[in-house]
Amino acid sequence: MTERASSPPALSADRLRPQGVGALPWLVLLAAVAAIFLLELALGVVWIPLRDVFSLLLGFDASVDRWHRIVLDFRLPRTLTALTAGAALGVCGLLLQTTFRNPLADPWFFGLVHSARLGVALFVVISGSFGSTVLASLGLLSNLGLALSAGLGALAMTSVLLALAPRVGAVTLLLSGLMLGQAASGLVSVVLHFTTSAQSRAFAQWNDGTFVHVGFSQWSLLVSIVALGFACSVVLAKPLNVLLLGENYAHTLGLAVERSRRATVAVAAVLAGAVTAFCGPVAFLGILAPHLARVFFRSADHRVLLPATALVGAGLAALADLIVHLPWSRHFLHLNAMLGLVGGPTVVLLLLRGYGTRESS
Amino acid sequence: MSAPAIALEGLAIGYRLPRRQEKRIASDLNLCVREGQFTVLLGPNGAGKSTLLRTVCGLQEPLEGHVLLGGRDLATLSARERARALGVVLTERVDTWGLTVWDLVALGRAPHTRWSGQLMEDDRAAVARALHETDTDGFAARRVAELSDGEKQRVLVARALAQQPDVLVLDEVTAFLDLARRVEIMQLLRRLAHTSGRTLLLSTHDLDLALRTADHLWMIDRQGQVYDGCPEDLVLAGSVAEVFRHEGLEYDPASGRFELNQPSGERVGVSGSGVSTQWTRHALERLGFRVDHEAGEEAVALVEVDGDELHWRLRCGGRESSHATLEDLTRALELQLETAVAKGGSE
Repeated sequence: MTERASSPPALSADRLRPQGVGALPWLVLLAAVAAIFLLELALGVVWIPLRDVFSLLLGFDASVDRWHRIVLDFRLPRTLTALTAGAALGVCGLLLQTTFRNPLADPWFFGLVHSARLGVALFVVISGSFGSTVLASLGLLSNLGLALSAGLGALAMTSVLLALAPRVGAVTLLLSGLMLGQAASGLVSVVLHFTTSAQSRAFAQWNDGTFVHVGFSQWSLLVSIVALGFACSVVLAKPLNVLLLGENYAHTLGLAVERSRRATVAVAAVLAGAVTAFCGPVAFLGILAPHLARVFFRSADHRVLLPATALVGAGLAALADLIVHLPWSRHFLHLNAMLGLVGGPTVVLLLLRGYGTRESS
Repeated sequence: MSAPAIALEGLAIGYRLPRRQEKRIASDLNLCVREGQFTVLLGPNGAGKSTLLRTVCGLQEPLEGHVLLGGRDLATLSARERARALGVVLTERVDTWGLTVWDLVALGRAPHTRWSGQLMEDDRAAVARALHETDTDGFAARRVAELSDGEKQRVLVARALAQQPDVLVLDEVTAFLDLARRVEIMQLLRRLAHTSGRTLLLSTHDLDLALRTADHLWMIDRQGQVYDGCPEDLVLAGSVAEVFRHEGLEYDPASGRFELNQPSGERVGVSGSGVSTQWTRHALERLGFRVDHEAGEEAVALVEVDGDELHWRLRCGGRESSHATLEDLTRALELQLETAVAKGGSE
């Protein structure tokens, strides 16, 4: 290595380097999420002035007594849950997309959500919880059990897909996930057949994705699990970047490919499981958030994409929830319907742009 | 003497199949690549070039034997040590997800960076140097997806260089490129080997380019037979002809070309000298004529070449004509022979 053809000037290293992500997109995104957060607290059947929302958040009284309960007891937990779940599902989608090298990967399409529900259904039947109570009044142990069984359910699905991935193309994998998800849904119905009527009523309510029924105690558990998942994702950022080049290149770059992939899908399963356990099946956030983050930040670096996807996912979830809870005269808007309205066409767009035709390996 | 950069010792390559079966592609390979050499692995498609390279890179386990990198057994190196010693460019497509050229090349630093993958001063310098050496620094900020195939290959070479390995292994990097890009990248790789002391091992099925650029050749045929030596030695020893004979091709060591057209037709005499005479022979041979220097007894026609004027005179069957292009000449020749045959048939 003594005689290089010519040594470039030391300065060129930074001259050549493309401009990194500036502060502006972060500020814009943070401002948007903050605005959605405040609107979620202010808008609804009862419109509460932002001034009162602020004073309630800061621990003061509002001008109308009743608002205290509306904002702090109903809207705040719902909003926090939406932000947390959205961030978790977005990051989950990002992890899946990179690990499977499949731009269409998403916890819902890949069946993680349904297998997580199956995990929950089994847990409910075996442990006899849910009882006559609604989800919000379960004890910590039951909540932990719910999250754990949902996570295990999701993990089972990711393991199947990981085994399948090297043999099939991107679209086949997607369809396999969808179909296996349907099968898991079918099994959920079979399992519910063995529950008491009270249990299945509680389950039915939870069967449509929503952020409504999550109380503070559950949210704190959810946010702890999600924070843990994020911490693991940050450690996985470098392996994920290397995995962008594909399995073989990753191997020649010194990455323990199998271990990294298993770790990544485990984190994804925990995230999808935790959200599904408390909010039910929520669609499309996992595919929307990463792609929007990529477009918005014009980056493929996971050290940028992980926080960006979390923010975008949080904002999207809260925005969808906000629209659902506006004072509509008739209440037909469901969370998944709102997400599907944006998500469905986006997936079609991705397919039309040729993402689906690429091989996954 | 220092250990060779790459040494294969009793290596057997192939695939393990279920139930303790295996598909052997080649066995008992004892080969080495000296430091700073540009070695080309040549062979027909499907002969096992990729399998051999994948084994050398550690992407595939040898069935038997060892691969030594600078005297150290590949199997005993940690993944990170291996990645620091060996850079690889593969045939497979890289899905780039909107990565810029800089980002992609910087991923080559992965074996050197900390857990977070953060680039330090010397990492950035190594990336810049790799871009410079492959002449890709002009488009460092562009997206990889926007590049042409030739540019993309150079960027992938830059990525491997950024890894700062002693040995570079490249699998069919010229496969999908046009001639100009192929020549360009081979010259680049040769330069990399000769100016920096890096060792390069590259596979290709492009015989001509391999013979003209390699310091050393490994030739593998479909039977798993491997020949090694400098290109000219392999031609003279008949190994090149041997390998391609199995492919149904006749390699002519005198011309350094494959005989595409077995001369079978009539003899034609060609007189003249210089480049235009050479290409006149070329045209006639392409059409299946056997070409003699002068009109012999059996010659059906005689062509006189006027190299200065680019003019041809054809004598055939007692008739004489002159032509300004070879296309014109050959058409006239074929026409006359056809009418001769037709006449002969009618008599």
